[in-house]
Amino acid sequence: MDDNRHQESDAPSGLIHAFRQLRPKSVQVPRSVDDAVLTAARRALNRPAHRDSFRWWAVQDWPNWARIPGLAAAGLLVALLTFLLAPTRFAREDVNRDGLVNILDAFQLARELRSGAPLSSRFDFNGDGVVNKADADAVAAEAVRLDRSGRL
Amino acid sequence: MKWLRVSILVLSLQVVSAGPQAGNTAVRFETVDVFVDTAGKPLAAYQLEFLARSGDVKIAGIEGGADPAFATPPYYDPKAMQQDRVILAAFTTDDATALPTGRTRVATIHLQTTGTDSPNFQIRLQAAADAAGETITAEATFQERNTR
Repeated sequence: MDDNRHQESDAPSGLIHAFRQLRPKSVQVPRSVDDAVLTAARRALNRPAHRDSFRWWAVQDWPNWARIPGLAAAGLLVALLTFLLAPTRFAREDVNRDGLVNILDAFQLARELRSGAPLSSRFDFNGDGVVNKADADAVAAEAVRLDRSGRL
Repeated sequence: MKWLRVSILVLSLQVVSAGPQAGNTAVRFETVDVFVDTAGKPLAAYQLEFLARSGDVKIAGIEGGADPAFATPPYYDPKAMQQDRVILAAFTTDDATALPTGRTRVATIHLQTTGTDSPNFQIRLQAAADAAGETITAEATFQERNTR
């Protein structure tokens, strides 16, 4: 304290006077205004946060720690839905639609031919314009093709 | 005289080294019967893979099986001839009552083997079905005939 006073006495008197002029004048605020401000502040601070204000779809509203894993999970979800909802593609000779081309496809076509049921032209595998046993033979030939399946 | 000894030595070494190779070129023909065992269920369709894991083996011919339902030669890739691997498959649309059950010889494979090493064959059933086209559990086996 003494040091401050000593430093103040060392300063030029003009400067000291100028600083003293800078001191704000005290403003008298009525007690009722103070009370009103305090009451309003307390009411605002005690109000629970609105959950409605959080927009889950807006990434900027997410907390920082949730952004990267959240976006990664969203990407995985989109990829999974794309995979599941995409139409499954089967080989042309996969008559029974089990994902494999084997003798069971030729067998199914042969059984349907034997039953006499009308068959779609998509079973015309040899392209001769008719669906008959030759098409079942074509499917069987495809099933036993060596370069189709890997070795044991 | 010294040259004569060296020549005899060199010729002897050549004979010793060439001897086993000459034996390895011996060609034999083997016959392998292929069976499918359905454990009592009627067999209407099958597909299997047969191959030689070791040895100089070439497939020379393929016959049908013993049961009338599979008497005609099965489907196979013609490229399998002169190779060591083949996929065999066959089906029949005969009534279930006419189908074989149990252990059935479905095909016979004729093989040409070269050398003295015994070939190591392997077989794997890829599909089997009953008369309704339903997949059935079965086992594929093979048996070498004693032919030379």
